[in-house]
Amino acid sequence: MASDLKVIRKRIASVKNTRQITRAMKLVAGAKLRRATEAAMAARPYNEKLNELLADLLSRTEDRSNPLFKKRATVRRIRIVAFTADRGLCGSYNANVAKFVDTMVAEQDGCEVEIVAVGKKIADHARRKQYAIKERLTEISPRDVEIHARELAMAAVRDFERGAVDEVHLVYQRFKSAISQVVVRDLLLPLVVPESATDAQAVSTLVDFIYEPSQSQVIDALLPQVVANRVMTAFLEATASEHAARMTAMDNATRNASDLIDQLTLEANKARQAAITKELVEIVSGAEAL
Amino acid sequence: MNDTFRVELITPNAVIAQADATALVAVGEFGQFGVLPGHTEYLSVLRPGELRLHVAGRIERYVVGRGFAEVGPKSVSILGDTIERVESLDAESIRQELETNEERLKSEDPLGDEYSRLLDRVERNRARLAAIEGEAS
Repeated sequence: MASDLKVIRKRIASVKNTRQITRAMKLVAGAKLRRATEAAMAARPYNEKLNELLADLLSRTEDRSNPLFKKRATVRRIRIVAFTADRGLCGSYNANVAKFVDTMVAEQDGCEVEIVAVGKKIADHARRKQYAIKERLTEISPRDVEIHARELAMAAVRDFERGAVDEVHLVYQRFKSAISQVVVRDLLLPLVVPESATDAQAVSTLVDFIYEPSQSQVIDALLPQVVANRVMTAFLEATASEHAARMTAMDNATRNASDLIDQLTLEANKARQAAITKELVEIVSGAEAL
Repeated sequence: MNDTFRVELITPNAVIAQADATALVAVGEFGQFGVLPGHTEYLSVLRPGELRLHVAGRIERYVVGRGFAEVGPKSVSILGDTIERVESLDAESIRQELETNEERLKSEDPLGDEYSRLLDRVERNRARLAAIEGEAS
């Protein structure tokens, strides 16, 4: 009985340690989440203006000759740019993205798929599944997000233009709130013309811009920026979602640990009481025997 | 003529400035252009260069990397990948970076990706330096 009590006390101590770790991780994730949402907020005005500019521009012209708009008649090779975390302990965050990618790959019959893995978890997953990995990016500090997003986007634009890939998709978790994130898939290339720009009525009534250097050159310069910006937005959303998922997971873990500690404490008390009772019985029956 | 127009300077990371300006000068694809209130709708690609904003009788000076200027009758949006205040720049470190990159440029293949990346950096740093020196004189 005494050894039983010892075992339980040891377990309580170990669960308390675990709880301390999960609590610390929750706090860290919370701080990172705040920073990530701030970064996402700060990126929003640029994002909105850029898309507004694109819509303004495209609603004034029927010209869709830029190669980035061109839909391929037959899609032979697609690229999936998938975003996950580098580490686990964030609930189903990584698994959800991995599962989504699996489904996408399974749906492509007769067309090759290559993966650009952003985050160690999806990179490992893709390797296990033996997908063709085009590139892997891991351990990216928040400072370098912009540079990496730009490079990913430029690589996508280049490969799309020379026909190495026919479609580029982004798969990431969109940050809806601290407790809710959803996996989404965005078609990055070919670029989809925003609906507001396809209204033929509007085209004729708008005053045209004066362009410098020329309308088509402005479009040519703008489109890669739009692509780069979409990749960056996905990056920021994914980061915010990761920290939110980790915070929720660690909050649950902390709560579970507390429950377990309560339960074990109860058991320890019972065991202690049982030991005392047993000793008393022994003393009393010993005294009676005299 | 004390009319003003709304100017927003925006980068992917932040809104750098919002102001009611009386005039603006920036560097477009064909060189410098100026904007006064009531300007016609105008859309320009921006090259690395100085941007001057006339606000309440003072001149605010920035350096833009690459980007776009959308000019409307009442408002101007400047979207730049980088926009820095001239006062915040450090001439010495920029000059050093410029020199090393100019040196490296000489040994690069002019058709390679690395060449265009370096050239881009060099152009940005030249624009920064020009803006700083413009202030000194």
